Amino acid sequence: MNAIINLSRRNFLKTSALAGGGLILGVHLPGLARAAEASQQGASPFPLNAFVRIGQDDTVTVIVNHSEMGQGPYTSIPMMVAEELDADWNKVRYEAAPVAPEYNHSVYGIQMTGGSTSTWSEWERVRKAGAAARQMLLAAAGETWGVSADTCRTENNQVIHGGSGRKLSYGELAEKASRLTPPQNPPLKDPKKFKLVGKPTRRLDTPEKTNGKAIFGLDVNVPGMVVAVIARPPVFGAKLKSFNAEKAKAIPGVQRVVEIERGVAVVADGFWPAKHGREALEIIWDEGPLASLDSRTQREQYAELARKPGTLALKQGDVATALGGAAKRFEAIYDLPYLAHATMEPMNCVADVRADSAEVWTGTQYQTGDRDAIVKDTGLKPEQVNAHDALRRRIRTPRRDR
Amino acid sequence: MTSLTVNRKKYELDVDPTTPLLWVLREKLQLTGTKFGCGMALCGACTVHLNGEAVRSCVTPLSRAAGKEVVTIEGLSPDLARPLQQAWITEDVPQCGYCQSGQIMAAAVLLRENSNPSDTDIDDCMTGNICRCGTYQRIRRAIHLAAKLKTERK
Repeated sequence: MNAIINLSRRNFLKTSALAGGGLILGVHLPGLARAAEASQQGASPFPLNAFVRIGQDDTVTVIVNHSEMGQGPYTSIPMMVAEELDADWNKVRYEAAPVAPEYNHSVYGIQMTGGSTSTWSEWERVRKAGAAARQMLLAAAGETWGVSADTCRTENNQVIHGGSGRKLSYGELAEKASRLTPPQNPPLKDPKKFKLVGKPTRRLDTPEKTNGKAIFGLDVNVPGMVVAVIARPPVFGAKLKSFNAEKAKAIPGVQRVVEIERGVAVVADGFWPAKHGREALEIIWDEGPLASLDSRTQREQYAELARKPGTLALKQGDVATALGGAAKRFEAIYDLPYLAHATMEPMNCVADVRADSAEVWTGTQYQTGDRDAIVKDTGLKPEQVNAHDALRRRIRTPRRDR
Repeated sequence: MTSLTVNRKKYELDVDPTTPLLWVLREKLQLTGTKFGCGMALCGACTVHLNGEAVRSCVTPLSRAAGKEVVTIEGLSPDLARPLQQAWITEDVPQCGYCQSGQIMAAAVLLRENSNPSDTDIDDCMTGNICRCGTYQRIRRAIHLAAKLKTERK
């Protein structure tokens, strides 16, 4: 499901923004591109819009524009789409969205995941995508049978004609439906009629997380790939004084040693020689003024800062008066340690940069930022860059070295 | 040349024998279900079976696996994989999922040795496998369920 795909859906998804909720519907694929996509994507080649594809085998693929880090959008967003689509939940699959404007966060306007916003910010848009797809399937069935779509209903991946009881599966209707014009403002279900939303539902991504098949950033392999590890400064703001590139290069398998803005990268034909190469660098750092900074000093500085008057963010009532007249007073000091936004999977990124294209795979919460950074670093055009995040893990975009 | 068996398949590998088994599995055999977490035997994400014992592949040199049988998450025998995976799905164990191959490989050894582990048995056996998402309670429930499923299957 998450095989590495070099095709960018963006290239052949014709999209248009709608007013209001920002629902974006893609239509009409050129035949060739559709065939290419079908062979890549397997079962679900027919896009009804940017969020829903349906295959001839009846599989419903929901394209999820929020990163899965364990918090569940690979399940919750398909649930919302499937609810409005009247899809058979057993036939619903998920797929990570490529980087494209139609997948931008509905509030923040950039493609990103964070702040516990994935479900509520998509609540209207992806339900509309499901509802629009449903309308298109209804219309396709009506056209097939020569009846009004109003006389048809949907249930469990099928369109049923009320009068005759005739049935067509979504898979049978997908191709025809994908050629129809998407409705602009499809009606949404009355929440009282929800069958899926609000019900306990098992995660769609559990099976592949129990059999080793889930592909995380570190698992991506590109033919001819080399592995780089970076020796990073031990202290914030430290500067590189010297290192021994020759000693690192003497390790069998090490190919190159490259000084970067904040450290030294050792490039090798695998992780192990790269790590050995890094250990051989004999780096000397100028650790700078922060060398003696430690947690205790920092805590003291924070406490000192907390005693000083700060910037007024909100003033409501009179604390001094209220406390003065309080029957009981409690005093406590709360102190939290620095909590690293660290993942079990080490920071990593796979890049396939060519003269006219760049493909990047990384566990990320911020696809637009990654794409822009790649554009800046490579000088390529945004449309030549595809940043994949089909890889689930918890991560923030790593700091860039330039 | 190092000879070893991985998931019941024999390999002759021309790899520096000091290379940790983890990198041989991931980079040479493309068995990426075994994860790299700490590289220091502290987290358990790289747990595989070496002649049936759970080992940390990140600190197991290839030479130690020579002539032995390695089993990874991809090759776990169905009598253990099926109840464990079914239990993991029923209990919705994983969140991010990164540690779960290691968790399941550790749990598989426990289940093979102990058909009805107590909470304490589970905690003792699983203590070296860290989960950053904190799925420990569900892992425990899933191991109890897997034990039940495995017994019922017999």
